[in-house]
Amino acid sequence: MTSHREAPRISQDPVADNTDLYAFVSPDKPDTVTVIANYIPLEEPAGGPNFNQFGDDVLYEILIDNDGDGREDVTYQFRFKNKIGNPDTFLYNTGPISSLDDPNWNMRQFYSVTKVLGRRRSGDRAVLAKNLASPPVNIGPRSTPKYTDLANSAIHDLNGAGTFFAGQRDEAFFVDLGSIFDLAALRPVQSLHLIPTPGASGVDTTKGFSVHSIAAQIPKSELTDASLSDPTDPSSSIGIWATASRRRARVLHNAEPEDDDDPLLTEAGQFIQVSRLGEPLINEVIIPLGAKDFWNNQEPYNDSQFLKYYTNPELQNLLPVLYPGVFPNLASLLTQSPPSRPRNDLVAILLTGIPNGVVPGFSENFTGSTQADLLRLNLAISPASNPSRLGLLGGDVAGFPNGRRVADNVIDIELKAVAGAVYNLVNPSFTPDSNISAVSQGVDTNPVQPPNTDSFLSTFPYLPHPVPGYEHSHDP
Amino acid sequence: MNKKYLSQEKNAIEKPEPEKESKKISRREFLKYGVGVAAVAAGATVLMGGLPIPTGATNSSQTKATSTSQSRATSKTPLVVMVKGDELTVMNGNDEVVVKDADLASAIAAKME
Repeated sequence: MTSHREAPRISQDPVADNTDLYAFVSPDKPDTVTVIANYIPLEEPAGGPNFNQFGDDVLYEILIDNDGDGREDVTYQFRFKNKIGNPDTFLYNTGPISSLDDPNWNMRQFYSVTKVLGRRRSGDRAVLAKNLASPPVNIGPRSTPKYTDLANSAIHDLNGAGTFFAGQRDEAFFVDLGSIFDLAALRPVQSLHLIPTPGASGVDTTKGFSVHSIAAQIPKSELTDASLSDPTDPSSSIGIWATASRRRARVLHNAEPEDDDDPLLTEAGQFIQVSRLGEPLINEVIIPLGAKDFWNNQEPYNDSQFLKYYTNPELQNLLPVLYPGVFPNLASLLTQSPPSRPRNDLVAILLTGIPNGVVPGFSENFTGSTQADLLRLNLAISPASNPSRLGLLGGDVAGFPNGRRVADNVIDIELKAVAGAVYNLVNPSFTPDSNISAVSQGVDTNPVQPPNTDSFLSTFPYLPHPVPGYEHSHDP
Repeated sequence: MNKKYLSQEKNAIEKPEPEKESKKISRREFLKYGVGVAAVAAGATVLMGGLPIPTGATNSSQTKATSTSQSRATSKTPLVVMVKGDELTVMNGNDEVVVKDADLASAIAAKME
């Protein structure tokens, strides 16, 4: 997964766990950028009576670097609070929920949006909105019979400051977890694996699960003052990442039975970052176990300390071992000492952005020499009329790694890249293995599930409505 | 930082729950502050209940401050204190104050033994 349960500590704290981050020029509103930060991995839609919701003790943030120093210049902060309607029932709802203020709905959630200019903890803050309603989760035909209407009514337009949505969505990130975490097997080509099994079609392991999304559609002019008229202008590219933070201290109390006011819990102190996500699969695949919790706490401008994991990634070294004879050119490359074969292609793609002139037909999304895990997006590049799910590898300059759209197949793209698909761009003596074209997880999109009629929505918030707990399924 | 946007947003800016930088307070202020202490974390260990201030570890004026503060009503919102080395970090909401007091820190540590 791109960042689901990717580090030991955050795997025990799902509501603060960044799972996916998307950022793209909105195809239907190209003067805006859509950023979607997902949290809470692998939500079971039927998980009542206390269904999944955002943490009311977590500070969620979407951060923008518009000058290439790996530090945030614009931050959107989201804080949630819960409101219990009827405390005398165990039920999430005591009847159909027909609107966001329906009295049948007992466990409601509201949030505030704060914009910070400058550093996120010390910059100038402006509260854009308070008490914005999140929609309920999608329960089933008796509780949430008109879910699409309910969810759409929780899309809030803040009069030029942006449009926001925070609530449950379908887990539309498609990935074959079952095979990938079984010693990096890829079902379509697993007959070539070191421990072979017959080839098969890929399985979307996340089918039927949900996530919680914070989606923002923000005018470009709110994020940068660059003219955005020239894709080759370095100021046209911004870096985006998302985080979750918790207060430094959390103390549990023994409540006195007669004291109704006892909070049972005290949280205090500054917010400490416990999770972050820029590019997909970094903490999941690039960073080793012993550094994952530390990485989650760090800020992007410090990411040069992790450079060695990019220049000599473990997965690169495993591929020729797990697939003997499949990657002869990569295997030959690896006979050289690591310092003589740095993967500067991965450094460019994942840590600095791709400079102008490296990829034919692609201007750039280079943000400068600062090595930082940011999802980089060139705002001057228009949305594609005919997108390729392989993004830039498929010749589509508006796709990953130039930002990330909801339909981009980042697993296949990054697998191919790690296998050396574009290493020849920085090392002309290298010839990518011909078998790289067959490197695929065998899952190419999010399956359509009711109430949705397509894999993704064509308008904000783009991620599909969540699958109802009543009728979900996880099998293909 | 993009200063243009700073200036554009000035009028809309307010400061809810500002994140304050850690600041130093005096030992006297800390002891006074400590009346509401409900938890002490010594290293990784959390101790519930009021913070015992051993008289042997304080001089007379500080003892007086403690005595005075103890006569006041207990704060409804407990403070949380983390002790690490000779530093005591007192937390209340977003606020954090740091006190350097080797005597007090060692006295607390001794109570944990």
